[in-house]
Amino acid sequence: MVEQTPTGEAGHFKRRALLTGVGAAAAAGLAAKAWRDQDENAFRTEVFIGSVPSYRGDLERVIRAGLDELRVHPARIRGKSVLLKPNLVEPSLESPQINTHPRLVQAAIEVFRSLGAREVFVAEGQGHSRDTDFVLEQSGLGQALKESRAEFVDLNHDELYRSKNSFRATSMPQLVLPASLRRADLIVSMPKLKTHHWAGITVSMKNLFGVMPGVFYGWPKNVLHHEGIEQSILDINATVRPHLAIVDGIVGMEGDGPIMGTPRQLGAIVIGTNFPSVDATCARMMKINPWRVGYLAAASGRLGAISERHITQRGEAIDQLALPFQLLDHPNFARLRT
Amino acid sequence: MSGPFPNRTRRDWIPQARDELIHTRSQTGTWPYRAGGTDSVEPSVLGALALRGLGAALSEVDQARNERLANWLVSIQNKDGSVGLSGAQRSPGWPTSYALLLWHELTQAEDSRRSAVNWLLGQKGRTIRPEFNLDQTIGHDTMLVGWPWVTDTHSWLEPTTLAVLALRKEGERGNTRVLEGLKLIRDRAIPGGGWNYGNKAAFGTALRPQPAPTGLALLALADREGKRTRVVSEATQYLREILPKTRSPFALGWGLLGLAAWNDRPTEANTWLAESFDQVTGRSDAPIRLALLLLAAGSQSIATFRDN
Repeated sequence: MVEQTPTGEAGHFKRRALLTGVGAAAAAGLAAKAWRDQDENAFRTEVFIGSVPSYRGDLERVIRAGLDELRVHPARIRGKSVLLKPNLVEPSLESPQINTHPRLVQAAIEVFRSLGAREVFVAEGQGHSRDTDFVLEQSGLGQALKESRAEFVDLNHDELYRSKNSFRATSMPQLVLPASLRRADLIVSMPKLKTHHWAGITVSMKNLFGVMPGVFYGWPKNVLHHEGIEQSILDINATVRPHLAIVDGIVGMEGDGPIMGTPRQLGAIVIGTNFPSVDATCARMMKINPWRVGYLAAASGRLGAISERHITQRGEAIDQLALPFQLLDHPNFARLRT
Repeated sequence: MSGPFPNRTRRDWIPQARDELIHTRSQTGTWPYRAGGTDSVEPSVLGALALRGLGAALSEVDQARNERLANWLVSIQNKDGSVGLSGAQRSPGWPTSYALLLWHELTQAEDSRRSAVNWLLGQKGRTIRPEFNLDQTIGHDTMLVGWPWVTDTHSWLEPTTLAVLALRKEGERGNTRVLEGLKLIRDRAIPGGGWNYGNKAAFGTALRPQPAPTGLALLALADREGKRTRVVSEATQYLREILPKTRSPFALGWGLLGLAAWNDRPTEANTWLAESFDQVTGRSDAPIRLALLLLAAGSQSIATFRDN
């Protein structure tokens, strides 16, 4: 796991305590691979990959096909409250590779409504901007939600509750969470598929950073950085226990993600119920070794499966769509490659 | 104006916004972030300051509620002097700066103010020594000490600007903490203009500015000796370009206050505020947004944040 201990000198800390050590975590992940493999058996799962060349495609059809393939039957949706959690990092009209595309969110709203959901609402607590209205306006999601008549909940300023942190990858005994998570029967992570300059990749698991309320954790949720980004990802996922991931991999981000990277056309929507498996699949689609991503290696056998032999691919094969995503020119990132 | 926002020029939005803000206020003078939620320090203080900033005499009821609010803030102040998010959530203490601003404005709660000032002066953002940032992964001066959102974490822009504004009002303008806070704000300016949450570059790449933090930073830099430096000019230029393109109350509220602090308020500002009000009115999360719009419109608002 990554180093998270302050230097011991009052008032200072090492950068790695603020950020995370991709390289160190990756090395630990590879070492863990052999003995985690056995534990993963209990987490065997399926992940669906749908091919969609552009956002003008029939996104609803692909989501429906994914849910069908994964046997997420309408009975699991009917009468339920569904929370869609997109990835809204920063407000930028010029860089659509940053945020989950509004059309995909709209498509998911329609699918869950048509499957009989009692309500579908969209919620986010973006980490780089307190100004939710600006982010919604500039990303285009606000207009999309208006068209879909869907409610948006600002998780940064929501009511709060405490939940015991049983996983304890961080030192935090409790996590403070937004009350809207309790309102939802089904929590759906809708991330953008991106490289991430601290965590290696950001997909469905890292996307849950956005449920952590800014009023309590600050912007950019710096408490979690001090605790270790990767450790925090593990604790949040273990505590929140999300139900479904629908990944926007139609246009992803490579290079200096999650904000300043460049668009990368992948043409895929990835869907699954086990988040480490979904993210491991996405890593392979980016030609990144999931065992080199510290939090995925640490999740193996504890929160899910990341070995290929424990993940049954539905829909398209990984090799049909996989493309090497460019990584930052930094020694730590070279290790992420297969 | 042209663009995606419906044209609106009428000026009667201010009394409407004021009435809505007053209507959503509790008997104790507080507001929640969202209707039905917990009464919270930040929306409550901004709401009260907004009503005062309009310049018109407050009704007896509104004055009484302001005083109740000041007393409520005293009642939820922690023994160490900090003020948390709400009565139920006593930490983190970043809203302490808001409490100070209100107490100062109402010239109330002297003991509480002294205690809050001491707590704020003791809050130091953690630094990162240069040897751990040799490759300039982090683009700012990591050794400057400002204020964190949460105790024992790094310094960030918004809590630093709020602390500077609140402490300066309390007569601490020459305090080394305030001076270093101003230095930090200047250091965190993004090359090309403006500020975001406080991270100007990562891995050598400049990040993007955002209007609300830019407005807050300009407000903090505009003390009586504030000089119109390149950083200020680039930031005001950024706001003059971005504000016509947004109707976000946070962006317009803090952005216009920041421009006003440098005597650079655009003539179209009232139209933008009116159009933003149209989008906000009736929403369950309206109070803090109405407060920011009214603060930006109020003739006396700037005085709330200035120490002269």
